[in-house]
Amino acid sequence: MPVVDPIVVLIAKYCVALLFLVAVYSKLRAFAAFRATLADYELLPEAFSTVVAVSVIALELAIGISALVASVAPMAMLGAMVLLVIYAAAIGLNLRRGRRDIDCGCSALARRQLLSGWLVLRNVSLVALAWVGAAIPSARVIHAVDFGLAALAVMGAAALYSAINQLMANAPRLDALDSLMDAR
Amino acid sequence: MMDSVILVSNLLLWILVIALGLTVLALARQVGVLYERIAPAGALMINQGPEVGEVAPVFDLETLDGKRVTIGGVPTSGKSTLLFFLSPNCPVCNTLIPVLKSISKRESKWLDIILASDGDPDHQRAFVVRKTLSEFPYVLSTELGLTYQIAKLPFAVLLDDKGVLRAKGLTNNREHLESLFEAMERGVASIQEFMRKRRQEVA
Repeated sequence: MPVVDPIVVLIAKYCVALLFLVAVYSKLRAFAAFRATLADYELLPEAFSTVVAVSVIALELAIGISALVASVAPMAMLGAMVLLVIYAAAIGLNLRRGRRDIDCGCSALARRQLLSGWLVLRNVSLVALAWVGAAIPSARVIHAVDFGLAALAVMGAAALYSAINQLMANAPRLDALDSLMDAR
Repeated sequence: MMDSVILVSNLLLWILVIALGLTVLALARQVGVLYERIAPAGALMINQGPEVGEVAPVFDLETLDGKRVTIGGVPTSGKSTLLFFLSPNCPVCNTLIPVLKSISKRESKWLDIILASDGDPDHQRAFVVRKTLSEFPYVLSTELGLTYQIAKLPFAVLLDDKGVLRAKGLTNNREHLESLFEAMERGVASIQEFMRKRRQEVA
C-alpha cells in the first residue's frame, strides 16, 4: 500500500461510504425493481434473486458504515473493491452476450441506464478510488479544517459523479434517436 | 495573514467547484429529459409484412396448453385481437407483461390478447409459469413471425372484429401499446401516419 497524505485517504473513504450508502438507500426504496434488475442480468437462477438482492444490500450497508469507522475502513475498502469488480464483471459479461438493452440498475438519479462499456470503465475508476481509501496515511496530524475540506471535496465529487452518470444514461437515448432519423 | 487568505480562497474555490458540478448535473439531466421528450410518442411502425387495412392472413395454430386458436379471419367471439410478439430473452417484453395483464382486464369486452413467440417449447412453458401468463393463449410459430416480418421485439399487431389489420408497431412501453388502440379508433395506421396527416392538414 502506498503512503499518501491523510486528507486524500479521508476523501476517498468518505466518497466510497457515500456511494454505498446512497446505493443501499435507492435499492431499498425500489426493492422490487432491484430484484427484477438482478433477474435481468441472467447470471443466476431467478429463484435466488431475492436472497442475492437482500445479501447485496446487507453487504453494501456493512461496507458503507464500516468505511466511516477508521479501525475497519481498510477492510471496507477491500470489500468495496471486490463488490465493484463483481459488478463490472456482471456488466462486462452481459455486454459480451450482446444484451445492452437491460437496465444497469446502478444509479440513484438516472431513471433508466442501459449497459455500456463506459460503466465498466466507471467501476474500474471506483475500484481505484477504494484502493486510495485503503492506502496508509502519512504521519501528518489532521486538523479540524481537514474534515471541512474533505466534506467539501466529497460534495464536489458527488455532484460530478452524478453528472457523469447522467451523461452515460443519456448516450443510448441519443443513439436511439439517431438510428430513428436514419430509418426515415 | 497569508495563511488565512489562502484558506479563504481555497474555501471559495471549493464552493465554486461544487456549484459548477451541480450545474453540470442539472444540464445533463435536462438533456436527458429532452431526449426522452422528443422520442416518438407512438409505436414505431415498420413497413414490412401485411399492410394496415389489409385482411390479415388466417393462421390455425395450437397453443402451448394444446388448445386450437385461430389468428385472422372473422372471429366467432366478435372481438378484436391483439397479437403480441414477445420472447423470454427480451427484457423490454418483461416490463410490458403487467401492462398486457391490465389491458386484458380493462378491455376484455372487445379485445382478446394472444401472445406469440417461437423457440424451445420447454423454455417457453417455464417462462409462462414464471410470469403467470396462463390466462393468455400462447402460440409458438416461426411462420407467424415471418409473415408479419417481426425483426424486433416486443411487436404488437391489432386485428379488428372483421379480421382486418388495423394497427401494428414496435411497442417499447405502455404508451406505444395504447397508441395502437388510438390509431385504430382514429382510423390511421400509426401515430407516425397521424402526425403526417396532421402536418399536411396544417400546411
